[in-house]
Amino acid sequence: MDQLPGTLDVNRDDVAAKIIDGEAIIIRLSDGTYYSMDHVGASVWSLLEAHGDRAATGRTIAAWYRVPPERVQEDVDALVRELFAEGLVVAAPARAVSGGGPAAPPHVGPYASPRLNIHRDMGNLLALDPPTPGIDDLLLKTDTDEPR
Amino acid sequence: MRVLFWTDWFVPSIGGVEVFSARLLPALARRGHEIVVVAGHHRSGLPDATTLEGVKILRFPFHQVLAARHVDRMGAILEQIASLKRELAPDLVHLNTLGPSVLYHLETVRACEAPVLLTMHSPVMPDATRADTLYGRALRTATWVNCNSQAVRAELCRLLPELSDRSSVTYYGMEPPALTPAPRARHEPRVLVFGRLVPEKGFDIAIHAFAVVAASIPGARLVVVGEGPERQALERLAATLGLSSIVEFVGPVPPSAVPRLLNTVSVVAVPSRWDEPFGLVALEAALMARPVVAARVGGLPEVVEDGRTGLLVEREDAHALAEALVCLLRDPAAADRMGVVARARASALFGWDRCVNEYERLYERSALARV
Repeated sequence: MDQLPGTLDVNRDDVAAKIIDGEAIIIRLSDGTYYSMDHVGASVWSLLEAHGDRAATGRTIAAWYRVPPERVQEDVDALVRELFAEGLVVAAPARAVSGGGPAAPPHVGPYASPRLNIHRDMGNLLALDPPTPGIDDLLLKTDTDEPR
Repeated sequence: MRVLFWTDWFVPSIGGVEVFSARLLPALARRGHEIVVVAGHHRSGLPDATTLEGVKILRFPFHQVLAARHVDRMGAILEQIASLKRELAPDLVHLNTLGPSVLYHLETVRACEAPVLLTMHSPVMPDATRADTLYGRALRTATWVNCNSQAVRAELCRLLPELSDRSSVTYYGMEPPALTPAPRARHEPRVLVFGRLVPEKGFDIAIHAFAVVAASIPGARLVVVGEGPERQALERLAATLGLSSIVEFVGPVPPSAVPRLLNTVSVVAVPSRWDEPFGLVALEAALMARPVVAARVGGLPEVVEDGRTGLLVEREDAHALAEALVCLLRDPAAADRMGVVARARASALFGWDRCVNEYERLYERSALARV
């Protein structure tokens, strides 16, 4: 995508997300792909969720973490490009920026370029090596006397 | 040392790794280490919290919540895990399995920045090299990676060369059973395959091989021990080959009954078609002085010494498996010698105390390591 939209929104039809202890957990519901972002990424996510203005997001992150706006905007754009490519955010009409976001970052810490962790293998991992079926009535015994 | 032992599956879930862990952790606890197990809560009716010989076990519905794609419940579990990590402040986090539950660990790393030991009990998956997988992320971020055989470590380092200087091998260990090995039967010999009845174990190859064995060795029988999704298919295969009367499906047996079972057989076959990472079955057989015919896959050649403690054959080669079994069954004196050497070698290389000592050293080394 050459031109990033100026305003975006979370793809609410296909995304469930939550910020927990300063980390963003994001699930693409259609295929069960799990994503996560550390505290700066979580801050970006919270602003995209609130007002979606890409430029305003960069300015707010620069102010929150006290880093040069140019550097932050590059990082924000790179992250947004990835979120957009993954279908986690979509282009959206402009919404009010002022008062439309959190007043402070979800977690305060040193600035680091935000990173989107992608876990495409969750479905495969869940399907692998399920417990042996049909042996449900074992007690947890200390002599490990369980059938194999 | 305080260790947070993280595992997708734990007893009473069944499998070699689960049974091994359930023996290892109490042994480490008896040496003064505080071990807390965080495990998947995969079966209804089990308590959320329990103890096993001084080891605290906490279970969480990791898999169910991930499969349900339920972000709020996941958040609640993450908060519980973060709180547990802060409270326990472990010296080491030991990721015993590389399964879905590891996501909960990775997303709570900030709650406790202890070094992370990751143990590989299975063949390395190609996802190891991918930047967009949980599997790859866990490997890249581990402080130390321990493998259960040289074969597993070699493949790991081939895929991820950066792990060459922060990985090691610790073999499993096993106590020699209290039961004395019985003399192997000379007449109407029984050949044993045992383990989960899944395609990877290659029990179908053993049944195919037995069509040849039965024609060469009158009275020979194949005993299939274990349970799993392939049972019906294996029974059908035996019937199709006209072997129903000489292939016996016993079902599952408890670990405590395995030595007794081994005493009733002449040879054990491990015809796995996947890269068997270690081969606990081969070790159990060796400890009861039974020669093993195994596929030359994964870590099996490290447990079975070709020509000395058993015979190795190529993967998926039913004909070679049959030839090797016939060879041992026709030369009982040679098979007896192999059994004796196998038992001595297993006791020396794969002893239980050595294993616990090595795990203790592994914990100490990992706790001091930094990525």
